[in-house]
Amino acid sequence: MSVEPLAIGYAGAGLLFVFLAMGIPVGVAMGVIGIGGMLLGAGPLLTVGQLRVLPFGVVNNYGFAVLPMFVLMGVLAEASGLTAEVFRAANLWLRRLRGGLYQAVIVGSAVFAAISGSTIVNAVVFTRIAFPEMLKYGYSKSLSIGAIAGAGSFAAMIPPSITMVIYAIMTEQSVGQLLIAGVIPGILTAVVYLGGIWVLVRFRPSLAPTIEERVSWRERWQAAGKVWPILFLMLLVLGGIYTGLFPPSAAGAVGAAGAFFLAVTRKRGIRGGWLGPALQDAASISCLIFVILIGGLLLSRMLVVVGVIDDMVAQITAIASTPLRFMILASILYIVLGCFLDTTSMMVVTLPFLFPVVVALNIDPIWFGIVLVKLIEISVVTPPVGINLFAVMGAVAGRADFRHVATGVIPFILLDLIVLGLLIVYPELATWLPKQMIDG
Amino acid sequence: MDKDKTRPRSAVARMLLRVNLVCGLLSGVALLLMMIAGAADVIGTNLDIIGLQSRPIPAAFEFMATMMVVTVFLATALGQARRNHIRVEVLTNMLPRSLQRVTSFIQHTLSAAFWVLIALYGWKSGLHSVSVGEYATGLINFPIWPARLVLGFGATLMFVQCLFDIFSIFSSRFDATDMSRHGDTPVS
Repeated sequence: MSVEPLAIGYAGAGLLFVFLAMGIPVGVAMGVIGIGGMLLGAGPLLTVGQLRVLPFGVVNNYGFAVLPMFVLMGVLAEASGLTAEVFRAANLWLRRLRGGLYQAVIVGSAVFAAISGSTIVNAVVFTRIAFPEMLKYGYSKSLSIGAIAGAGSFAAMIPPSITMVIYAIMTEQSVGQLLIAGVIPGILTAVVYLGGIWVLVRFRPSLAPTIEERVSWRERWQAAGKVWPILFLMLLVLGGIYTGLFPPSAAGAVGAAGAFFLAVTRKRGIRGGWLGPALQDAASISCLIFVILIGGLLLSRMLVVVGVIDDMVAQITAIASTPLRFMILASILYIVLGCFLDTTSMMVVTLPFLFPVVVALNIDPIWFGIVLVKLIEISVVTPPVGINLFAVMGAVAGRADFRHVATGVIPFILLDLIVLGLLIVYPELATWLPKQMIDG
Repeated sequence: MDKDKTRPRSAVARMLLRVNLVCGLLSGVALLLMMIAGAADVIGTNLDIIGLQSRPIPAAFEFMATMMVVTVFLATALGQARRNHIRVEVLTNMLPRSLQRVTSFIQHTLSAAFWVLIALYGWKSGLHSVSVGEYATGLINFPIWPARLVLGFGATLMFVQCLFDIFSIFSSRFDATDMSRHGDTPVS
């Protein structure tokens, strides 16, 4: 009795969720199902061909070098200790405002996100630097943690974003265009956060007592002066991509080299034991992402050859016949999935099913990518399993409990939903800037 | 005491850890070399901006791609040893210890099956590549076979690490808390 390839594909898709629930590494779960499904549904010839070609083809690809380079850039920037300087500058400039420390966290996170692509690193680093300061001045514990976790998610949208590069690889879109597309939505999110905090503190002043300590202008300018290397690095990388002076992979290498130079300068050389762990961390993160990508692409090939994709596209387009309906359905799906899966896995698991629908409905892939990243920003701060919440919980070292975290992020999730609505209603917020690119 | 608990007891485990650590170090160095090659190529290519003749680094793209293979495949086994590979632990963490052993067995067995296939076909492609002297055409004919062999080696090392992890489940050293102790590498 032969089994229909389509049935094999759907059984594989179902089995994937069983494997994930059993704690099987995400890349392996997708890879094994991809290989097994291909073998049963399309025969050994295609399967062996994919095993020979795909893992090497994905990793031995200059176009994807942007991923490890951005990872390295972020890790080196963090190792350099520049984050503390960013927060100090934002703090000195904004602390006299009511709720100034919340604003400092938001501005500091947005600036640091421009050289680091990891939401977790952002959240952890700002918890260590800003949270004690916020407690010292009597700020609300809950809202402080919420601001840090929420602003930590900026790294997914503001370039260089690792999330955006993974989306580009999975959907074969231009990495450069996607990165540039994240600029306006990233700034918009930060502005909406700043406005939201301003309103909240105005109506509930007890959330943020006024800080009376005077800071001289000289101190402020000195602190701001120490932040210029980050701004320079950011302009170099984004400027290079935007003007077409160099491709994203080269921009990543330049950014990483710049971060390396800053770290070496600030640490007075490569001694002191900081470089080895930083390189190992960056290599480890890159490796984890590529293993997931290999597994995801094997799964994706299987779903295509057994006909699941064509079938799913027909079924989904029947339910969500307009781009707007589809975007709303996809938004609900990602917010729910985000409660259980980490961001990379969530994207790699779902894109093989959803992206063909995006193409079938003539939805701009750049717009969809930005909406998806916004959803990911929301998912990393959504209880119970938002990954940034756990990162912040780990870093507060017992000075707050999960109740504080879960209630503190609620205002920021609401603000994110406002931005998500704006991005869905006004696609130009995402698509206008990439269209202006010289080598777009 | 903690140190003693995490230190591998058998000679095989110590040797495997040592090999993994050396490969992890080489992986980091490859990343650094990628960065240097990429940045040097950008500078060389854009020398004309300051009125000098452009001097791109020959085969910089191919070199970076090769280093990427080294970075990814030499770090894979160390990631497995440290339980860094991304997985969903919400349900398994709630299981009793005996069931955690079962899920760990399935996890490592499937990982071993996946990586042995990647290794097998990696080696086949690598040896074929050596025999025909495969290279990428460009200003310099850049050899591709070293990268293919690194893939085979890295996947084999990962397979060995998975076998070792399966063995550990049946030895008295099984520790269900391994995942939470090591799996904290931030990704995105």
